[in-house]
Amino acid sequence: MSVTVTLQPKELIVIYLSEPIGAGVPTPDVIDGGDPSTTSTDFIDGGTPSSTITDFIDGGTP
Amino acid sequence: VPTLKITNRPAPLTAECAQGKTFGPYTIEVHNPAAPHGNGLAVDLTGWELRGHVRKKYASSSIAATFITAIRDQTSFPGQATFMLTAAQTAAIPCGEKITASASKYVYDLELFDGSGKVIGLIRNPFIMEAEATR
Repeated sequence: MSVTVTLQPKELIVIYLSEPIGAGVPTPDVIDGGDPSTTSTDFIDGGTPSSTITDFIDGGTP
Repeated sequence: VPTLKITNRPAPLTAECAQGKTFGPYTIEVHNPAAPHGNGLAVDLTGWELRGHVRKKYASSSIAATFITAIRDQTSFPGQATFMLTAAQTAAIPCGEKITASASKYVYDLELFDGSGKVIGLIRNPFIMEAEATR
């Protein structure tokens, strides 16, 4: 886990992590039959991915 | 050929602190990585805590100051945590007449940790103390 820091106005310290953490982080959706969330990386499925998903091979509508 | 590396080092952010004055509170906002590795959104820090110390040197056994930290309400302020030192705390940190004096030089870092034992270093660097006239 590495971090990148930027200093925003009003001395807000914004930190970007190299790996997702925290509650609500989606599990990468590799093979399923459901509808992935907009934050999932969905490689192979049968659902309907959103426009923000990297959708390589599926049966849905990318 | 560029040198490749992997690291878990905190990011460098130098801190300067006037003795006898309140330091902060400063707000940290933690984000997940941007796409395609994450959603780039602020992390829900529910279940996480922030901690940090000021020491003369990283290897010093004694602590010059312990940051007062808080995880903010994650519904209203997702990803945000604060840290500060009170005026009394900074007044108690010895320093030299000038900020360049070795007596004024300290180090600090801040890290997130959770109940599972995971620890993520956030920021670190010199912590420079400046003497005060009004006290």
